[in-house]
Amino acid sequence: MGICKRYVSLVLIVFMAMSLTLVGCTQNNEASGQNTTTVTDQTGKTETNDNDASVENDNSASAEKVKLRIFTRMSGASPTVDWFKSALEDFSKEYPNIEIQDDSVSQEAAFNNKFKTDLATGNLPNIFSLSGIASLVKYAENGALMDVTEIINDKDWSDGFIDGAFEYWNFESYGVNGYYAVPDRVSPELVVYNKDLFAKAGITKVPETMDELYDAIDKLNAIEVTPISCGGKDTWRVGHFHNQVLYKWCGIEKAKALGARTAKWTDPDVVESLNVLKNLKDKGAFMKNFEGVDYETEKKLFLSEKAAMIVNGSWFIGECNSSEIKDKLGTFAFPYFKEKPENQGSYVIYPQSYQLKGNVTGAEKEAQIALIKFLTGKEAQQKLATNVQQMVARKDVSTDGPEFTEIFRGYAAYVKNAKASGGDSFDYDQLSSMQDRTRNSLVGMLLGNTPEAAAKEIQDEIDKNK
Amino acid sequence: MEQYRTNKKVIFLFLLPALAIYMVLAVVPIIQSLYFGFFDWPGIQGIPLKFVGLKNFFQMFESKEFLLSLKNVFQFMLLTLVIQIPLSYGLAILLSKCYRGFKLFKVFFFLPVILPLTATSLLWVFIFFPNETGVLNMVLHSLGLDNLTTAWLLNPHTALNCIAITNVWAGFGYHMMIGFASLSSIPEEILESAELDGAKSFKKLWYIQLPIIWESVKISVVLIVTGNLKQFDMVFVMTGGGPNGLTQLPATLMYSEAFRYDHYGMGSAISVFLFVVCIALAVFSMKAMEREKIEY
Repeated sequence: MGICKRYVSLVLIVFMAMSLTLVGCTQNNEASGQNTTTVTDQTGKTETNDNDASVENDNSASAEKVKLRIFTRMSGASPTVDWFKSALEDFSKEYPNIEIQDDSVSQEAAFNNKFKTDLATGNLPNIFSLSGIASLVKYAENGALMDVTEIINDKDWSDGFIDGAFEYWNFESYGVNGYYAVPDRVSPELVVYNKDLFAKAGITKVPETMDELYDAIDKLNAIEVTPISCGGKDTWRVGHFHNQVLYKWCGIEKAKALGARTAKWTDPDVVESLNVLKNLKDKGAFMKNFEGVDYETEKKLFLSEKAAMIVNGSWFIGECNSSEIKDKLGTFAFPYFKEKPENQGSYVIYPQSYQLKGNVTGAEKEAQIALIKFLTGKEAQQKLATNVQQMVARKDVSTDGPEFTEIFRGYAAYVKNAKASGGDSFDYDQLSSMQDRTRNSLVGMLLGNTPEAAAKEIQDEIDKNK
Repeated sequence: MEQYRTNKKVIFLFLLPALAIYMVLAVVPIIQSLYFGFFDWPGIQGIPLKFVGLKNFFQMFESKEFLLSLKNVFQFMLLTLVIQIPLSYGLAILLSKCYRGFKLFKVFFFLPVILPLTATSLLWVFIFFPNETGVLNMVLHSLGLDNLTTAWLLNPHTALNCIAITNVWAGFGYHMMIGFASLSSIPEEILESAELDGAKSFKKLWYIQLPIIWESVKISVVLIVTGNLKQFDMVFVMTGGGPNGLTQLPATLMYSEAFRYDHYGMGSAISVFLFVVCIALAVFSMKAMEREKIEY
């Protein structure tokens, strides 16, 4: 018995020691999370060699040796990733005292898990890229994000952005003063169509109204071509489709009102927008069992000419340009409802942004500002537009050259014609679960639920979390 | 050497590193989960934990999603159990007869076990793919059974069962090997003397082999019960809990609550519930399958 007691005491002592060690480690990490700056040089000026020219850089951001972490979804192999890596290399050449650790991962779940872990342990990267708008408010409220108002005051840099680009992340209406993100790209979403299949079906002009779209669907079905390629396995695809219908039927302000809780998902106009989506399915707009089709298959069906239309964002430009049917492709804005002409110019444009870590000071803060200005500056963004054919958030970037394809021009014209624009319907909602709730309920409706039941399901989620 | 082997202090010293790692990586997080279950926390450092008592646990039992996930996990577990145990042990018995080529079959049957679960899941996603490119639908189509084709992972009547079948395929080889090892350990003399007493194949199986390997069956049952209660990766890859939460299991729901919706308290409450149910069912199945120990 005595021996047993001694062993138990020994075990307890060991665990106490290990716990203390772990607590110590955590505290060290916390400390390092607050400020990862490593001061190795105090020269105040940095000499960099670029193209054999010695450039004296008196930017104080480069005065000290600083290490920055950047965390985005730009990883793997794609032209956008190539641009991103090359931009970071260019930055490193210009700012040799700033070391960049690129922790980017492309897979969404891995990205979210890592970000949430960083957030919970107070070890956020300096620059990261989260989607959403209202869901960022709680991070801003708690000091996790940097208020970028002070850098917007640098007019040489900020004047080049398209008008109102920063306004998405002005959280004043949520009770938090300041701007909490820097615009990166804009991703307009419209209808890409196959001109040959349209001609074969006898469709002489692109549909401008929903009635014309229904007519086109009938004609395409008559020649046994899937009218619209869409997949519901990756639920965001159905969610994006509904954004189009919602904004054309209810307007973008309705989505904002839903987020602000001044409107309900069970309101008749919102339910009607769900009904339109269900009717599209019933009219045979999509392929059989499309609810289980993934995004890759969806694109493949369109690019292999088995479907005549696809509703997709500007991230699809590259694949269109490299496809064999690129000369057959055209674009048009999602049709509007004759009964709702006031929403004709309500377009879906997903804003993308970078966020900066809050609660940083000194050299680290200056370094992260220098990096964000570089990445979103005119020079880097021009390369992104020209080399990758991406829509950028800067108006001082030229997109007129012959290198820009017809598809790109279609997207560019769409952005220009937008009277009002909105992203995902849940972007205006602070409830984190709304992304999954709305998209899952849409899929549930397409699989058999009524629009009323789907609307109630979404509203219940809001009411449950009040 | 012998004195070291019998010295309790030495034994304890050698066990200590493994025990310490186990405690720090398993026991401490379990206790922490229990602790977090009584708090609300959005997962942002700097925001203090808010004590809410048993609110998370009450909310968990009121949640339709949780109750559905609970129903799903029991259906999933029972289906796996009912198919996997007879299949695994049936094959183990067949292989123990040392038919020609049994080693080759043993390797083939064990192969799915060594494949990563994500790869296995993806493989079956292609088999169950909803349109004509899905292997199963293609086979049914070529057999003229078009009326049987469906979107297997979308149809509420088939989605969860399809994942359970994938789970059976991925794991039956493991339990087959447990059964095979157990059957191989039965001394030949016992079987020979039974034969001399006139026992035929079925009688030998029923009265000699099965009672002797019963302990292995018990282990398999406990492993299947506990393993399936915490099932996560297969559902995550194959359906992501969809469509519309129909294939959600408690473990996938726990992940969503904690890491997607920032409800760390609720996520912890679900994990505590899973832990308790795992232990309770493990103990229950051991007790329910208790038999008199056979000695030979």
